[in-house]
Amino acid sequence: MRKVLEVQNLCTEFKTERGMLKAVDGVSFEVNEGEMLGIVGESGCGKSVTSQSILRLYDEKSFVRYTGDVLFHGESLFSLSEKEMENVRGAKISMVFQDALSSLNPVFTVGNQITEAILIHQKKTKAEAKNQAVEMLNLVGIPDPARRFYQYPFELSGGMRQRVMIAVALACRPQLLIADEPTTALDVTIQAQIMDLIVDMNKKLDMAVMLITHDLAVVAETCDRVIVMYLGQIVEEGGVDDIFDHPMHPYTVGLMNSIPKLDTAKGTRLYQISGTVPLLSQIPAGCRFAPRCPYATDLCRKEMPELSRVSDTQGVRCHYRNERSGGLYQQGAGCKAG
Amino acid sequence: MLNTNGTGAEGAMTYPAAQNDLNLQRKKLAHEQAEIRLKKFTRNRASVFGLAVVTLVVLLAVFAPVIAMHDPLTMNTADRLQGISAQHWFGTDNMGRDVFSRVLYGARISLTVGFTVGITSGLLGLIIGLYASTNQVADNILMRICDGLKAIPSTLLAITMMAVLGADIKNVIISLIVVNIPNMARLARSQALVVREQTYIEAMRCLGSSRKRILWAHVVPNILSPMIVQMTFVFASAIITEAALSFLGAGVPAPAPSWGNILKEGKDVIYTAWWMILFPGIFTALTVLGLNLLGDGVRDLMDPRNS
Repeated sequence: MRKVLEVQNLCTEFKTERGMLKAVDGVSFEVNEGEMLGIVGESGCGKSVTSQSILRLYDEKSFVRYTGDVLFHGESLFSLSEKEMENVRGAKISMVFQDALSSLNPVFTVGNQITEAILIHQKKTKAEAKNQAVEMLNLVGIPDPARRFYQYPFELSGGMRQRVMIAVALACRPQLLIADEPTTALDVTIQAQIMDLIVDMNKKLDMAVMLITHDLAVVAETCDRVIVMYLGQIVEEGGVDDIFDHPMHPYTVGLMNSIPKLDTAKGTRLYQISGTVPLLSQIPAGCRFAPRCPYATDLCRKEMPELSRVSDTQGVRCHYRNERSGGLYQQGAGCKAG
Repeated sequence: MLNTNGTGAEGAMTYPAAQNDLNLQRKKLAHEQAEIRLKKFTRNRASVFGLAVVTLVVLLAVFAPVIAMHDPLTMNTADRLQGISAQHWFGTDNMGRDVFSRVLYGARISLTVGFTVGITSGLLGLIIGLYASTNQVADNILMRICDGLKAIPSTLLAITMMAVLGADIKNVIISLIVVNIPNMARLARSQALVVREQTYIEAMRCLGSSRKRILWAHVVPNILSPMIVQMTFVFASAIITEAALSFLGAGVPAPAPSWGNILKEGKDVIYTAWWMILFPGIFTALTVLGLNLLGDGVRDLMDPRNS
């Protein structure tokens, strides 16, 4: 399988009053052609920063520093000029944001915005672009697209707007779509529809998708591979079956146990990972998860574990990976504090 | 509209859509949206009144040569300070000139000054504000200059500039533009800073729009409506300031029939010829009121979201 995107040891640092803070710290992964990759983690663990670093969206704000590299089809995105980067954004890599309600320009019609996306990158006449835009609206399942074409974003419902956003993002047929929590602002039924649409587009257009979410259920249903991030680092990665059948990192297990299950006995307290994600300025010395980990030992508190392979597909960042080769037990084992 | 020709949401069509189908939809929607806007505007009685007053004054100014029965500058000492009559609707002034004609021609001056000042200071303010919003160094310099200009009361600043430049209608316009630019620039800057942080601007960057394109094609349309509304208010305030300048003798030079000039000459004979100050006063007040009410209506109209 060919790699669409290769992220190599990416670090993104922001200059703040408390010095340089590493929001993303040595993240490496790749996205293969036509693959659907899920990135999960709590708020503030660097999922969005990773995705926005790939497109270099922080460039304008001068207080950011990237190290490492991002290769798109083998070509380094970090060595491109801003002008060349503009040709990548939208045409080759596109992005859908979580807040569909505010990611469409309120003063332009829906059609206008799709047409613009097409005209930025493709040499087409206005009429051709218009037809293509209507086609896109039809493709993302918007009924009566010719009418919607001339409507303003505020005239559409939330789910409709997210569909339009997807149409805008896919207008130039990018090879990679980064979906940054595309369903967060929507209600559950619409969420399912939008996820179906993204999966559908992934198959129909043979486009790789990087799905950033904190919804494990969505990942389990749609993704081929999963990356679990914590505090700017990858703590576990693997195929969707690896991660869900035999998770090895206590954080992954914690995340899964925090989901209410249908067969949980009445009156049982829902598991929670104790503590909160520490501030970037107060990163612990050893394993970053150690302060919250129910299994942490002195070794964990002193030394940072490496992300190492435990099988062909799965990797985990934990000192005790070998002791748990069969995967950690979900439920029960981790029910420390509650 | 929708029900009569039946191609509503239920119509299943084949795509790519035929061009004429698109055009049909566009016309239909444009029509509907125009109807909604018209309804929204007419529901606000005050702004309809404002529009009526402004239209009336504009028409009077445009057709002044046709409507006025006398030349606004011809003096006739025999007819000094005559009251209202069929011959002189608004009476005559202390030099025997017809006040009605002078008020009509005065409207030309006031509207010219107000309009030019509104548009020009709006455009210059927009450019300055946008530039300031994108460049930190320029922002500091430009905004400190604006602060400095705003620290001086506007009428005083205008009088000072008139003293330096000399009394002339052109200089009245220039000094009023200078006086009004800081407000416009501040408004444009603050609006641009808000809009630039919106998700849709980031989304446009994700689509590969260049910074220039984002600024002009996406930020500007979003800040235009408050700018236009502010422009109508500047229009109104420029009319008042121009009248004040003329009244103080620092505006449009004397024989020209500006409203301020008529008031100035009228104040000396206020007890004998009340008509000399009443009519230009009413015209000034009504025009300014009309513009302000119109501005409110335009604000409601420009915002596509509020219903």
